[in-house]
Amino acid sequence: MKTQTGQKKKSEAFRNFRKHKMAMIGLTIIVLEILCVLILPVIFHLDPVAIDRTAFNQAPGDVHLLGTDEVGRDMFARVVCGGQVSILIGFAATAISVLVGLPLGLVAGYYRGKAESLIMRTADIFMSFPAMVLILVVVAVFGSEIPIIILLIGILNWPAIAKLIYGNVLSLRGREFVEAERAIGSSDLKIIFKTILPNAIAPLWVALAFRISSAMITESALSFLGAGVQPPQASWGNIIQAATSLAVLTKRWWIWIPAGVCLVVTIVCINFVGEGIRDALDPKMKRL
Amino acid sequence: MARYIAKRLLQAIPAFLIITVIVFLLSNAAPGSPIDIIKSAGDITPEAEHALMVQYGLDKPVVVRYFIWLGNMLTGDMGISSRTQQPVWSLISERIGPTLVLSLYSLVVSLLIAIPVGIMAALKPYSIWDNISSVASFVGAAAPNFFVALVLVYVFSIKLGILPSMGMYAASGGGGLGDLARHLVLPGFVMIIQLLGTFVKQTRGSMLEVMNEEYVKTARAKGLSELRVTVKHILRNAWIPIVSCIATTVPLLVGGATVTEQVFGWPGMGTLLIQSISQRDYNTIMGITVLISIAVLVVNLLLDLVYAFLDPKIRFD
Repeated sequence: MKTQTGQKKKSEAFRNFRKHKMAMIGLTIIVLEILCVLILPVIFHLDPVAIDRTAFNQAPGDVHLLGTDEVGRDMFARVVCGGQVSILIGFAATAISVLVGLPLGLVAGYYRGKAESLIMRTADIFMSFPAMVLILVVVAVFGSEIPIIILLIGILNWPAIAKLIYGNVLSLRGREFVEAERAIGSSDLKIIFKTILPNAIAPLWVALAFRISSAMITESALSFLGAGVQPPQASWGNIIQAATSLAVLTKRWWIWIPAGVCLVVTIVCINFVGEGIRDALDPKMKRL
Repeated sequence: MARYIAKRLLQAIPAFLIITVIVFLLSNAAPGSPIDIIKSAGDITPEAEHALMVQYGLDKPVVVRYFIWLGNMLTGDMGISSRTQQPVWSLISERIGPTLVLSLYSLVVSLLIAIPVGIMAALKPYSIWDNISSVASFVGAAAPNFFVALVLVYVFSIKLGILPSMGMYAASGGGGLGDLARHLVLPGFVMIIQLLGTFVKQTRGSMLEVMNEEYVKTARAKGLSELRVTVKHILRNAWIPIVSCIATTVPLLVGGATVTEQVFGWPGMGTLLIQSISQRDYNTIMGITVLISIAVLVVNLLLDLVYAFLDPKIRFD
């Protein structure tokens, strides 16, 4: 009975999502974009660090589709490969946030008591301190390799996920079907993973989209500040950093505008998908 | 109420300790301790090394060293900057003002815009205010601040040439309030669009929540004017979550200020932090971080007080 209504709910949510025009457009663009950053470098042998000594600061043309930067690197290759890095960091960091936040949220909400206050107070502390500053400090000490950046952004974002799951588990744990499960003597693990988790996870899908886009913004801001992905490796953030030079900003739009547009479009699309999921899961919540 | 304040204070202290412990451990992990530097200059005997450890206090257990370090930090002794050879505190203290100006200006302006818009959006669903509020919250969540800043500089400072893009005051003379106001426009705008979305969403949300309460219906049923119901009954209660929302935007404000200051060459703590990071000036980095954690703590406590004052449930507890 339960699985049947669950199935129905799911297919209804999918139908609602497909009706959400902006979300479908957003999803299409993101999928195309991911395919592009994965496939284009292989097909066209794009090399983001290769230097063309015959072309410095060249405007877009036949040889270099998006021109070159001040050391003669092809901007098209840099934007595509930079996209690979930026998108990877966004998704991987969010995966880590879920890996840390989901179990902690479940434990805090289900067991309550000491675990609850310890986990939730820690989450409050994390949330009250500017993650950006902490990341900058850690990077200053340990360096800014991509795995370190992913780990840092991921770990510092766990409270948002944990709080969300915690709130849901809290409202579920007193419900009849959980009580029933407990009454027939199911183990805590079984109740948490088989009964509570499937019912508490819906809002996570919404949060995931917004977490991914916010992780991408954090990464690009870090790289822009010179404390993220280090040149010559490309990321959208460090490509845009070139525009802090007045000459690039005013005379060489092709160096910074394409990466900026890609970043904004990606974030907007991911957020549209997030809104689509939210509306699909709970049409009543649409106006809130 | 006294009990509530005491409780909040007690909760705030562990937060401060945890952040400072993290910062302290990081500063210990940082390469280039004084002994490493002396060692790299030439071989020293184990006895001499031990004497140096005693001199720098490194022979004490790490817990003791933490409290000595924290004590020094809190009394303003933050060490010497390896970048400028000046005391860290004197470097930081002259940056506090500009950062406060930028942050407070952005905070106040965005609240002044967001609260009326959020109220109107809640009172008149599907109106233009409602649309403005959804656009504001969407843009706030989707715009990478540094890119917005660059585009603004490009359009308003370079193409149109109507607004300055660097620093707090014009280099040539002036330096009055008008000059500061002109310099505040662009960096302020970047910060405001980020804060606006959160505030509008929160105002609208908490208004909507209160509007459906029974006592609002009662007030209307008693025949009170719409204005009176809105101000005395809805707003009076909707305020409370808005105030607590300000506390949650403090990290956003500080992070945003760091990036914004860097783009606009604003002489605040953000630019100092970035400079110190690029030059591996650890003492300054740690000093700034400790100061920010104190600031976050103080702001949270102050807002807790306002919160307690606004919420009768706490005030009369």
